[in-house]
Amino acid sequence: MIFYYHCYRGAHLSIVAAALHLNKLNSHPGISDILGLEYFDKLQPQDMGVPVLAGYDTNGCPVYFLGLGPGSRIFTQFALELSSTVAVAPLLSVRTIPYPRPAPERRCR
Amino acid sequence: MTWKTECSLSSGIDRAIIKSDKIRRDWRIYIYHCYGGSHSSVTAAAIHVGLLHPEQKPSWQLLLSLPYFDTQKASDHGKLQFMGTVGDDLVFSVGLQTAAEPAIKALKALFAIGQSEIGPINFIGTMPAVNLWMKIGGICSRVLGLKGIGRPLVLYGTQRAYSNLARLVRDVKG
Repeated sequence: MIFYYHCYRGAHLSIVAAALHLNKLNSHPGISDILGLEYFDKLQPQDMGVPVLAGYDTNGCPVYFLGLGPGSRIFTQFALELSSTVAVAPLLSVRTIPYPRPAPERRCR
Repeated sequence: MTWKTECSLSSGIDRAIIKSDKIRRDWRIYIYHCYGGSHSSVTAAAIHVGLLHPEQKPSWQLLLSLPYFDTQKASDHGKLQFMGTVGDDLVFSVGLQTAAEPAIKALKALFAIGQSEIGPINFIGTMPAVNLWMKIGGICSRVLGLKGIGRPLVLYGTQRAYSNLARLVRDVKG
């Protein structure tokens, strides 16, 4: 299984998500913990589309983070379709943009 | 389970190689992509697989009878649309919005990471062949949902751009 964490620029959200996946951050990290992450706030717009290896998780699966620009919205569908059509190794592509704010709750009356 | 990670990501991987039981190794995969994946990429893919004659301009009815022509919704962007095979070519069309470059780069990197081993995948952007009529008609028909206005515009535009699309496909086929 290959893990892809992606957001718009790949500089903040996805790298924190990848660090959480790899247990490099605890559940209540301080500011210094996040700023201490390698590559935090480093990727630039010209790096879009280039996955960066954050490390290997406990199962030995590689975890990557990357920026996809506007493609973050469609990439998961595109990659899953193409990899299932032509059968590449299993992939989990996670878009991290929806996660900063919780989804609005629908209230029933 | 081991993964090789020394793939040349920064140098740009021209061809992603994939492993598969379903697809023969010597098949070549052609993926035509544009913004919405409903007009120019479908027409180009149809020329590639022989549904349309590259020399003769198609009629409106013929264009509308193509599979996937003017049917995509915004939620379908990124979905592969299989157009057919010709010889050893597998031809798809897809809508990648404005994100073709980073998405394709990330995908090729993914296939290199996964060490896949089937034939080359060729990505062909059809946006250079698109004219203003197709853009306006495509927005009217697909984004705004005004088929009555959008369809005639996009069909007229597709006929106008047809020679460009045919030339693009001829260059791709070599």
